Amino acid sequence: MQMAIPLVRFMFEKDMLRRLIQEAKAGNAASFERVIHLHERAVLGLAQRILLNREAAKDAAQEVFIRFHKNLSRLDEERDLGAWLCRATSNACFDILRRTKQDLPLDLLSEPLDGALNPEESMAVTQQRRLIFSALKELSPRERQAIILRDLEGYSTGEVARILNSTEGTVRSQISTGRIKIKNFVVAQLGRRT
Amino acid sequence: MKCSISEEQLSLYGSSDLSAQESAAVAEHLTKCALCRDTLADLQFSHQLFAESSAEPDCNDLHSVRDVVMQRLRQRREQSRWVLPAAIAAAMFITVPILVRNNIREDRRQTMTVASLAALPISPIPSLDLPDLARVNRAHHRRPKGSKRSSLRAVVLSTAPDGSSELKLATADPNVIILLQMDGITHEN
Repeated sequence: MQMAIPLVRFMFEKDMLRRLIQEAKAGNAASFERVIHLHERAVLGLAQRILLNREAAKDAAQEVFIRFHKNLSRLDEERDLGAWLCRATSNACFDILRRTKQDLPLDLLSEPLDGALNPEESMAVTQQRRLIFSALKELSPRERQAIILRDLEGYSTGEVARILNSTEGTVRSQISTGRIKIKNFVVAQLGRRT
Repeated sequence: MKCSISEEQLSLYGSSDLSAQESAAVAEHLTKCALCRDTLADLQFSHQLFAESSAEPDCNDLHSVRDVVMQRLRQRREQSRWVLPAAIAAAMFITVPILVRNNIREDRRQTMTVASLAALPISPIPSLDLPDLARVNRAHHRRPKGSKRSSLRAVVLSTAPDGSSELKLATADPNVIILLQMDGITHEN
């Protein structure tokens, strides 16, 4: 019985999302807002991880939801909306990275940290983020997207290839290069582990 | 000694991106090669830092995104409410004066054509290379053998009891037809 509860919840959420999309298609603004509410954390989180800049990530997320509204009538309710939004977010971020001539400032470092951490731990986390964000800046936009989708968002290499409209071989190479570049950056800053 | 395992293979080891055969080869190599074990440890450490550094979005940012999107959609809806009437008004504003001006021009042109044709001397008419009226009385007449094709073809449309008749002259230009009457010439385009 306990095993059935997550399945029932999943089915309920899927039905609810389908109903909300149908209502949004019919012009119900409140339903559309509810759909945004269900996906905004994933979309904005992904945009932040790719762009490493709060304002640019907000712009990308807004663009994604506006694009989503434009395509609402053509959207198949049976298809995975999460994957569609992930692809749209990825594309929006890629456009921003391509458009931006200079590097976006790392303004996510000022994000309020977990209140349970003491000042020393908070500082250590901030330094760790600065290190990794700086390492990510060494990656090309495609490498950054691929490694974030694979290692942080949990998509398989095949799914990342579909999202980035690429091949599995190319994505595997991008992920590998990204991991090695991050490793080299961390080793250069902190030294080897052994 | 050069390693048989590349750094790329090490970076993909343990993440199901290598085939079972490749994974087994890497695992076997790692038991023998300290250098590759160190490289793998560095890769795993940097991957751990990378995974821990992921920042969740701030609640204020989430609200801000949603508010801006809904506001933009409301503005778009408001604008679209005015688009059709505005487009119709703009189309009328542009086309009506053009139509009125064209009508005035057409009237002037027709008046001028009639006036200029009426002012033509009678003499040019007989000089036209017209076939004999008697021979073109039927609509489907045959051209006499050996005669050259004229650029003008004539058909008698009607003959009044007083003897006056109306001739239709088809020219080489299919858009130009000349009607000849006893009491004048009209030119239709």
